[in-house]
Amino acid sequence: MKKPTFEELIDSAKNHQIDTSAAEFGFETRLLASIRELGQTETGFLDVFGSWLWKSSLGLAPVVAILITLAIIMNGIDIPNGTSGVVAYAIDFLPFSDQTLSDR
Amino acid sequence: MRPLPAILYFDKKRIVSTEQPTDAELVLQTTAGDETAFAVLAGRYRSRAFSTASRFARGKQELEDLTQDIFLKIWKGLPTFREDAPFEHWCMKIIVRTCYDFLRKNRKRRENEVLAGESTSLLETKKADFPDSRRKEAWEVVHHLLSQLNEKDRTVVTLLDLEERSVKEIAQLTGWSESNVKVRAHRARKKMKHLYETQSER
Repeated sequence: MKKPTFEELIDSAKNHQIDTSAAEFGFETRLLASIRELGQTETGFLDVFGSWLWKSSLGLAPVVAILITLAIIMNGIDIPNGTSGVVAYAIDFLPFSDQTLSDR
Repeated sequence: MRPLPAILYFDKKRIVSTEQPTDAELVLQTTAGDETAFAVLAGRYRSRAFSTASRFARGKQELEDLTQDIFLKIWKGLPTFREDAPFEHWCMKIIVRTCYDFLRKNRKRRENEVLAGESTSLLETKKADFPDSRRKEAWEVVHHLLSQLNEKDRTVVTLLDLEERSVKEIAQLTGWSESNVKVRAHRARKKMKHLYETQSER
């Protein structure tokens, strides 16, 4: 049997009507059910706002870090060096200590 | 009471048919929260959506999913619909773009299908007595060839050669330029022809 040319092939394929009746049956009913389901799972305003707030706070983290660094530099707080430097400095502010660690 | 003459019944029917809401009215009703209005709208464009989607999807389940996706996008997009263009055009744009997105999303799976399909040789010409079965067979071959094209080329060939849409119309539906559509169509046809001739020689 002679093989059809490419043009004949396209022409035949074009004229082929795909039977979609089975898939179309009850389509609107299924569609409305999906829409209702979608409406129930749709996120509310508070969810959206909460998510936005969380994302914004994450985005702002580097800015906050820079601001803290700048505040430390501008206030001229002297953080002692050494392995226990920052912790020791913090302890120095505790009420039970009336003596700075650097004096010890 | 005397029954009404037939001509009045006929006129009554005509009045009912002309009173059917327009697409714009149905859109307004839907955006106001009337789901049944959307069902009517979906019913009007269902066949068109299924016809186009069936050229992209494979199998009943895939077709149902794709068409449902199309109408869910239409539903979600209705509040942004402006009446500067007919609803039909807006709807067709969503249908075509959703089908294109579907091809992009399923690229990996289609590539696997092509590899698997090579051994089964869809391109063998079988003896067929009925024109219908020959058309179906031709469609199977064309579908196999189309699955070896990239998404954009496949969309263009499907719309141009199988759906018989004009270049201008395709450009409007896809948002690509007319020259882009023409170049893609030419390149895709050439590739398909080459594939058809070389693969069927095996």
